Amino acid sequence: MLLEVKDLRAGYVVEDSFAEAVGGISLSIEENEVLGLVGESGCGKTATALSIMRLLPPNGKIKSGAVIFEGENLLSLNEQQMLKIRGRRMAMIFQEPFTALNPVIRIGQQIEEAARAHKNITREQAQSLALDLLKNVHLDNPQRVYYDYPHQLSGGQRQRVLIAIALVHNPKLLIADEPTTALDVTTQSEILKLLLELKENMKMSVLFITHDFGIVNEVADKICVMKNGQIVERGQKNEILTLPQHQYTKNLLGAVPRIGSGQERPAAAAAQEIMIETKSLTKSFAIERGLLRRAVGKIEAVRDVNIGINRGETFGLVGESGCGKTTLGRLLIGLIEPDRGEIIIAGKVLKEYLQNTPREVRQMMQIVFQDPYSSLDPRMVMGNIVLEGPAILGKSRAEKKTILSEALERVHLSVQDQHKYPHQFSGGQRQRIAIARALATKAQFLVLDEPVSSLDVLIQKDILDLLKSLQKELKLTYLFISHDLRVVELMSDKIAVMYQGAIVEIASGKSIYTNPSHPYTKHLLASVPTL
Amino acid sequence: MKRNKLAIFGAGVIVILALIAIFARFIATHDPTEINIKNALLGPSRQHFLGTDQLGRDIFSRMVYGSQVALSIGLVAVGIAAIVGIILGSIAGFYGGWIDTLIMRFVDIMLCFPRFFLILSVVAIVGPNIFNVMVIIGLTGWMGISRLIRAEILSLKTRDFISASRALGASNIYIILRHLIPNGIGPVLVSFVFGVAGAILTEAGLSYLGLGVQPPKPSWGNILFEGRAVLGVGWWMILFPGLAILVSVLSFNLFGEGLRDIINPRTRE
Repeated sequence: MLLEVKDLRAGYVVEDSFAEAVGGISLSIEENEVLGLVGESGCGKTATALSIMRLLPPNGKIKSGAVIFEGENLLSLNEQQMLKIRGRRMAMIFQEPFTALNPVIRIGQQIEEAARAHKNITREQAQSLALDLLKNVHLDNPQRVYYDYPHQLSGGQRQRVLIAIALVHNPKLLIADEPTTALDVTTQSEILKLLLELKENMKMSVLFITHDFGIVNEVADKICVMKNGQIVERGQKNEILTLPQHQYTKNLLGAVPRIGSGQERPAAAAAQEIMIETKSLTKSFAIERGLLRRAVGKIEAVRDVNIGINRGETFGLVGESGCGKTTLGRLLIGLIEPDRGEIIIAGKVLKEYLQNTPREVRQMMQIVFQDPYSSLDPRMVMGNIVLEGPAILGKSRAEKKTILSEALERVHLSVQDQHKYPHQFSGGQRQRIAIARALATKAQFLVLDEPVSSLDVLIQKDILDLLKSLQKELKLTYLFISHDLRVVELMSDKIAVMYQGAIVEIASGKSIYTNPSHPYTKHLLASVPTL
Repeated sequence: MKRNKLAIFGAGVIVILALIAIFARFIATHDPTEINIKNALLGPSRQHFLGTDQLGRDIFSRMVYGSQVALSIGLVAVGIAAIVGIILGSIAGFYGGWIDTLIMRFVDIMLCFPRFFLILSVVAIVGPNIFNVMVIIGLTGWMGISRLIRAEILSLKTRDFISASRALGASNIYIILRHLIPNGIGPVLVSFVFGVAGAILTEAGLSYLGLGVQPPKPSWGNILFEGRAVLGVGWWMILFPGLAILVSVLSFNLFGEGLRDIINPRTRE
């Protein structure tokens, strides 16, 4: 037994009262084993990891329990003794590879610093160790990376560097807290492979924390499912994934979108009305450098895009971060102007259309964003947020009242909450508010820009179900943008795959995974963690 | 917590000051401009709490009325600065491009003048009275506020709720007034409070040089100015107005400090 956690209770002191985050959990990890700790945000999985490392923030407190690591109770050690364990026998990698590196120190030096913190080695030895590690985490051209600064590396490369730093002293236990959540799906699958390979080569154990059952399936030997600070179910991976006992596990597993689960939709009638289409749409942004902000080049965010979206259908747009999918969504509703090409809506060019139609008609195109925290004005109350569209049109108080109660009813929010501010709602509720704001305008065409990407899987399912039922009731047309092929596939009639600004493949929902034609689509499909 | 107590202390003093200024008529024991040469340069006594000046005027009453000058100059001058600063700063931040360049270079130029000497020369030209002093302090003090609101708006205008508002057909003015200014006003409020402290000091300085509020109308600065001549015999003419300036400026600064903590969630515990 490498690590044994016994009845651990820990939490945070918030405004003079103790909020328990970990409510008496026990778990154990054998040598050379990967334990997946799965749960939704706020369930206490990160607090558990930080307690094991004794790295809780100043207001965090471990109440009781024991953390036995290699026969030693870590909770009885003082800070000096902990320093000898942390980074040496036990290491941690985090979710955000962007903030975990010091931006003004070269990569090589950061690894060497970690090495020389515990080992009495010369500068030369440290350098060769750093280069070896960079090679071991499969960074192309380790020599160059050694001299790079963090900002010169991509997210995936940074996560590799962080893994290299964690592995400097051959730890027995690696705690990985959502290490791939901030990464693209293809990068994620490479990092997961790397972690498994290193685990085998270095004979270490991994505590892998994630919210994604697909990832657990790929990496874990055993699984603990956590809810509200408790472990509700534990067991071998296959047992849990195939025969879950606890209702909560069943719910979670049921909410995970699976490739190929999208219903076969009845082939629509031949005479379909086109809602919006684009003709060789192109948009580029200038890259500015240096003190004088000279344009040193341009990046084509959207390149020669031709798509047509039929009324009442969901058009899925999938691609990795930076591929131009968000830019395309914003172009379509006229938030930014294209350099070249046309957008045609209701038989008219978008630009003329926007200029010559009353605001009321313009409001038929709306957008819902990924981050429900930045998409709502924090200083407006919910009722006013939802009614912003009608308010701009100058509707009367009575009209607004009807519109508000109708819109809130559609998204299952209570009218009584209309005087609350956004921060008083949960993430899922905030997304409902954003949807209600769009509906309050009698929107016909909605751009859904990663609407569920920041939500937990159960809430994600609720919002997706809501979007589907709204589409049915109100005959809405969706452009559904996501990096998650599983979600897009679940929602869409047609799917377009975007890569480096261009649409590389458009196909109906089913055929994209049964018969992908473009190599990038195949690569994307192969990278999706599946159950 | 300790900081909050200091802020509450500051707020308390400001409230007391405001009450003194509003009810000056009832608090003052004498007519502040009544000359009585017989009583010249008396020390603090039961008759004259804070003594008298060389013309026999009651210092306590003059200081009570002086608080009106300090507060009204502080608030009105910074009010003018805030209005100019918010308008120019939000236009610069929102529209960007050459408009931004133009406004911000104007700010840079304004900041090139040594402010106090600029105020001195303008007062010398247009004449010293309370109204001119307010306007001039205001019109030379808006640059910091405009930079603050510009920076706030630059970061706010890329947020999703602004895009959502645009998709709803909101006009630029609507977005600025309804979303950007309410969200960006926090740091400006703090700087407003600090600005009041600065304006009180500037007015005291001007009056001390004889270019502020003109006698016989009392202000803390011109009591100091008159006391300077009799420093050896009339210490009370320097000490009490000096203390009043110190305490009020300190209170506004402490209150501003506390307000900053409340408004900026990052400095909150």
